[in-house]
Parts: sequence; C-alpha cells; structure tokens
Amino acid sequence: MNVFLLYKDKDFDPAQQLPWNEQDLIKDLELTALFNSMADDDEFLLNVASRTILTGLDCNLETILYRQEILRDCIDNPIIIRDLYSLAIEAIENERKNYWGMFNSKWPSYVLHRSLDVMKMFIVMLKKLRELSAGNYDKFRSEGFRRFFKMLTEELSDEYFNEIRLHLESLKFRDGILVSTRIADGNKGSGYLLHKPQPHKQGWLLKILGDYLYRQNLDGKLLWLSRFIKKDDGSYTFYLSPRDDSGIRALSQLKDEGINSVANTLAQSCDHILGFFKMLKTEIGFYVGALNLHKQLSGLGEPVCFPVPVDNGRLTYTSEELYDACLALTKKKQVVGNDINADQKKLVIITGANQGGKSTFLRSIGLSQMMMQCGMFVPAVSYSANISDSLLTHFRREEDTTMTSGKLDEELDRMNNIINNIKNNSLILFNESFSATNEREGSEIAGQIVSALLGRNIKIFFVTHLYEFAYGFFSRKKDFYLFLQAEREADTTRTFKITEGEPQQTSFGGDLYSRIFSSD
Amino acid sequence: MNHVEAKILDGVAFLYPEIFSDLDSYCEKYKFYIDDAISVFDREIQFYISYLDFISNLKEAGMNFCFPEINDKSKDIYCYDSFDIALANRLCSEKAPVILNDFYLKEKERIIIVSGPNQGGKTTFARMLGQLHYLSGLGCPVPGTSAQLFLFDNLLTHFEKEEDIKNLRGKLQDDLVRIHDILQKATENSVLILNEIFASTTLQDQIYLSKHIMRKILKLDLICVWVTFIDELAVMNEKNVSMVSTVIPENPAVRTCKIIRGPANGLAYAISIAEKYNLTYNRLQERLNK
Repeated sequence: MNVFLLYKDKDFDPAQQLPWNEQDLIKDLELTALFNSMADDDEFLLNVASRTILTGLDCNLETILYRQEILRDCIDNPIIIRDLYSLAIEAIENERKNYWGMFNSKWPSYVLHRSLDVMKMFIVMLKKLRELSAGNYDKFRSEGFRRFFKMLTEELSDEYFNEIRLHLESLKFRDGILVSTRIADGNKGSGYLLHKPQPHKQGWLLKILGDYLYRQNLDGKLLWLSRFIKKDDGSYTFYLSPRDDSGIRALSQLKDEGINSVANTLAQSCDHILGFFKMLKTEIGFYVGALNLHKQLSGLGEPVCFPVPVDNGRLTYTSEELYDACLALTKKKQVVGNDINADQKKLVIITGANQGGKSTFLRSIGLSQMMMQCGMFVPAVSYSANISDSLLTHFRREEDTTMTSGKLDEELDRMNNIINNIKNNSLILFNESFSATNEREGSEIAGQIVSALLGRNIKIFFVTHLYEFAYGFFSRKKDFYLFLQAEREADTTRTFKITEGEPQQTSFGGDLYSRIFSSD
Repeated sequence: MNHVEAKILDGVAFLYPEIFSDLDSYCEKYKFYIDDAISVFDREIQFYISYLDFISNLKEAGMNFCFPEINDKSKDIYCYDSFDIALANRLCSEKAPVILNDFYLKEKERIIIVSGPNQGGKTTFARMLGQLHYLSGLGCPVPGTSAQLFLFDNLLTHFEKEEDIKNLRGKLQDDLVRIHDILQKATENSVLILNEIFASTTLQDQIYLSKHIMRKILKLDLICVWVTFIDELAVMNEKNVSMVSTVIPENPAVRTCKIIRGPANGLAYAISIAEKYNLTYNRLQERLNK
C-alpha cells in the first residue's frame, strides 16, 4: 500500500537533501512566518511544511500539477482531510502507547504478544480509513486521491480483514503450538520450525502447549505439561513440577525458538502498517498545512490562486495582485498587491522610493515561486511563471560579528558561493547588493556580475539604489530588460505599488527625513 | 556522614547538651561575621582583576596599554599606537599581527571622517575609538602608548542593522529613526560613532541626508567619528578631519589597515575584492560556462 499523495509514483523522502542555501532562503524570504502559519502550533506540521517547501524546488511540472489537483480537492473537502490526518495520528499514537521497552524486545513471546495487540488496533484503524474513503470517494476529483481511495477499497477488502483475523486468531495458539525440528550434532534439536496448527503427523513433531497451559493430574496438583506426539498418534507426555524453575525456563526457550520467526514476521507487518500511517501523516500533513495557510489568508480577506507553471524553456512571469504572504501574516491584515508583466524578461531592476515596498515586492516574488514549485496556491489573483531549477537570494546583511571581513567582502563571499552552486535555469533575487562601497565601484561590480549572469538562462530581479548601475542598463534599451520602481505620489505618500519606470537619481530619502525630523 | 553515623551523633548530643548548645549559639552569633566593607571589596576588586587579567595576555603578546589623561573641558584628544581590543584579542590568540593606529583632534577639530578602500579597517578604526572612550570612562588603561581622551556624558553608536519584517520599517527609515533618537540624546559632551549610515538609498539621497545630519552634529560641537563613502563630507567644515584607509600603491589589492590623515580620493579599490572572489565579468564568463 502506498500513499503517493505528493508524488505520482514515489513516497516523499523526509530525509531528502534541502537546498544548499536553505538558511538564506528562510532568512531572506522570511519563510518562518509561512511555516508557522502552516503548522498552526503543530510541531510535526512545521517540519513537514518547511521540508516540502524547501525541497519543492526539485519538483517537475507533472508533480506540481499533480499536487495542485490534490490540493484543490483538499480545499473542497477540508473536514475529510483533517479527519484523515487525525486518523493517522491516532494510529501512530496507539502504536506508541503499546511500546514494550527495549529490554523485552529479545523475547519472541513478548514480541508476538505485543504485535498481536498492535495489529488488532491497526485493523480497527484501517477499517475506519476504508470507511472514510468509501463514503467520500465521489467528492474527490484528483488523480492522486482517486487512486488512493481506490487502493484502500480494493486492498482493504472484507476478505482481507477476514484473513487477517483468522491468522491473528491462530497466532494466539490457544491449543498450544506445533513445532518440528531436526536432530543435529549431539542429538540436539536444530532449525525449529512452527507449523500451521493442523495435526499433520509427519516426522518428529514436537508439540508444546504454550501459554503455560496447565492441567490437573490424578493427584489433583497443578502441573506444567508438555507432550510429544509420535507418528501413530500415540503420545508421549511428560510433566514439569511447578517448582522446577529451570525446567520451566527451558520449556519457554523452546517455545520461543519455535515462534521466533513468526513473531518477527508479525512485528514486521506491524512496522509496515505503521510505516504506511506515518507516510500518510506526512503527506496529508503537507495538505493540512496548506489548508491552515489557506484559512488564515482567506480570514484576512487575501486572495489566493493556483498558479500556472510553465516548463517550455521560455521565461515567463505574469501575475495580478501579487502580495507578500509573510508580510500579511505578520501584520495580520491585507497588504498591497502588485501586477507584473515580465514575460520574456531576463533582468528586472527595481528602483525608487525608500519605504516604498521594494523589499516586500522582491520577497513576494521569491515566496510565490517557492509556493508554486511545491504545488501550493500562491498569494495572488493570477500567476504564471516558468519553473526554476534553483532559487537564489542575495540580500544585504549586518556587519559580521566575527570581525573577519568587511561588509563588501562578506557580500562578495556569498556571491561567490552562489556562483559555485547556481544552475543554468535559475531565479536570482538581489536586494541592495554591492552597495557597501562607493556608488561608482559598487555599480561597476554589480554591472559585471549581472552582465555575466545574463549570458546564461538566469532570471534576475535586482532591487538597487545604485543609480549608475541601474541607468547603465536602462540606457542599453534591451527588450529583455524591465525597469520597475516603487511609486511615490506628489504629496510624498507611498502607495507600495510597483510600476514601470525609469531609474531616478533620488529615492526620495528626503521625505523620510522631513517626516522623522519634523518634530525638531 | 551516613545515616548511621548521624544517628550516633544525635545520641552524643543528647548525652552532652551543654557543649552542643554552645556550638549552636556560636554559629548563630557569627552567622554574619564578614564585614560589609570586606564583602564589597571582594566584589568590586574583581572588576580590576578581571580587566588586568584580560589585558595581561595582550601585553604578553607585546601590545601596549596606558592610562589616558582624561579631560572634561578641552576636546583635544589623541591616542598613539592604539588598536581594537576585541580584534587584537582574537588576532593575538591566532598569533597574527595587530595593526596599530594613531589619531588626534586639536583646536577646532571635532569630526573624523573615515573613508577609503573596502576591507581597509575603517569599521575597526571606528570601533577602536569608541572602545577607547568607553574604557577610559571606566578608569581603565586603554590600548596605546599615550592617550588623552574626553570625559563624555553619552557614547552613541550607529551601525548597520538588517531589515526585520517585524518592525515593518524599511532600512533607510530604520536608519533615520535610530539616528533621530541618537541626536535627541546627544549633547555637546557626547561622543558619536556613525558607521556607513544611509547606505540604503541612492547616492544623491545619501549626500542630501548626510549633509543634513552633519549640520546638526556640527551645531552640537561634539566629538564624532563617521565612516562613509561620501567624500564631500570630509571637506564640509573646518571641524572635519579626513582620514583614509590605505593600500600599497603598487598593489592596491593589499590593504595595510593603517588609517591616516589624508584627503579622500574617492577610490575604494572594491574591484580588487571582486577579483579575489573571481567575480569579475571575465572570470564569471569562464566559471558559468563550465
């Protein structure tokens, strides 16, 4: 049984390697706000959310669409999805409560006993799962869920449960156990083998009445009993004295040898079913996280939409009312959205008013790209972009506290790492990079790096105050450049709108100065 | 003492009550035997001991410390062969050389404008000047061979901070709010250290904003160190002194980390750092085409 709700043909690998720059991505795009919102105080969901989003950059077009379909079903049927998640949790919790400690795990009879209990519990849970799926099959449209539910109905049939019940019943060994063995060196038994509890009388069979069955003998005393069966069904019986502790120990050892492999097999079956529930918890967990996020964003009155991912080698980027979900979640209110039309654009340079929403805009680009690529909805009214093989961020940082390098040195060191790891088809976001030096030299460095990146299939968004750099590219007037600026109205108001516009020498820092120093 | 021994002792105490009650009252009486003066001394001397301990390592490595002359009238200050104590502490433990720097302000001079190449020790210099004043205010010997420093009422600093989505302020706004608060607190007797403020806007805005702030600082007549790439600030007023980080002229890639008095020449030699990381256009072409 496979869950296959994140990939069409494979399980989600919780140990999958995260992108090398995961820390930068989390920090620069403020992803923690997104993860927390998805987790909604569930630590397990927090982990699932961060892993699925960060590894989402490796998903191909097919996987993205596969997940989108499933997520649509989830949004239409949130209660069923949360029930599935709770059910998986319940099964896993019940199993854990039945934990018997490392110490006992080497005794087959304990293992068997525990596994029987766990398996019985799992059967109850699997039945619940089947009922849940059978009752709701028609409400789901996605390939993923239809396959999942169909599998549950087919594989968890009544016959299947019946068969398990019979197996479990016989494994209780109410009538003792039937074990065969070969005589090996020194006339010792070797290769103990458990037989189905049918009285096939072949070879030397050793039947030990398990579960410490006792029987009254003629003297009316309670005695431990064991019996040898001969081929002609004449039986040898011998009794152990109830005070014969070492004898009793030896008997249970023989029994343990006999049931060892059965106990292991049953324990493995339990582990297998446990594995199924764990995978279900993880994979459904992603969608539960998405539902949590969906609920919070709709609660704020913010729109979301399913993006149209493109994978035909063309640079695509069009969106309406794109906003920074993390900012909305942090502020707990609606934030300004932006329309962008950057199809066929390789370089987008964003300049303009301070405090005008440039960083926010840049973060919204990175965030929506990550959300799209892991198969989620995105914070926008409409959105289409090409899939990138990697997403890189280069944001300005504080002075490093180890006193090893200056600011520019630190920035270039990070840039060097990016170049070492960049893939050909990538999206890279610069936020005020290379301004830790004078304007002319900063512009020079930025210009050289951007020019070199333009030679590859790399899409660049660059927020900058370096006028020389921005104007330098503007004056080349290439079709695949786009120049945006943060809007400022004549009365100095910031609209937080990003619109097309030529780079300017001022970012209206004076406005802020007048406002902050107005009281003096 | 185990519980058996304890039981026996209880019996002894029961048999000889006088001796043990004497002992009890003795303990009670001398519970507070430590003199207040001694306990305060014990606590306060730790400050001197730990500072001397700390600098003794640096002294062993050949670094000089001196008691500065402290002045609360004249704003003439100087310090020779000084260094950043935190950086020196690390470098000495790595057995690496420590660069020494001098500075002085005399007569009308109040503001040191530090400019020059990246990675040239400008921030370190600014930090050093702050440390010198801070330590001298505590009465400690300071890094250097001789020094005269000003007794300040407030030591105010402004270093760059990262953007934080939680305070909902852009970087420039954050810079301005912080500098505004600083100037509110500052008096003529304050020492002010500014490190590359207003980097988060265009050059034209930077000049505009810096000049406004400069005027306010000049009016306050306080001692200030200002690290910047805006050369215009160095020559704005006779109170301003220009100091620059230096490179070896034949090989600008080598920083000396010496900060000396000299005119700002507008060269940051930043491209040499880009070269170090193979981030120039030509090198990038080769790297990306691999």
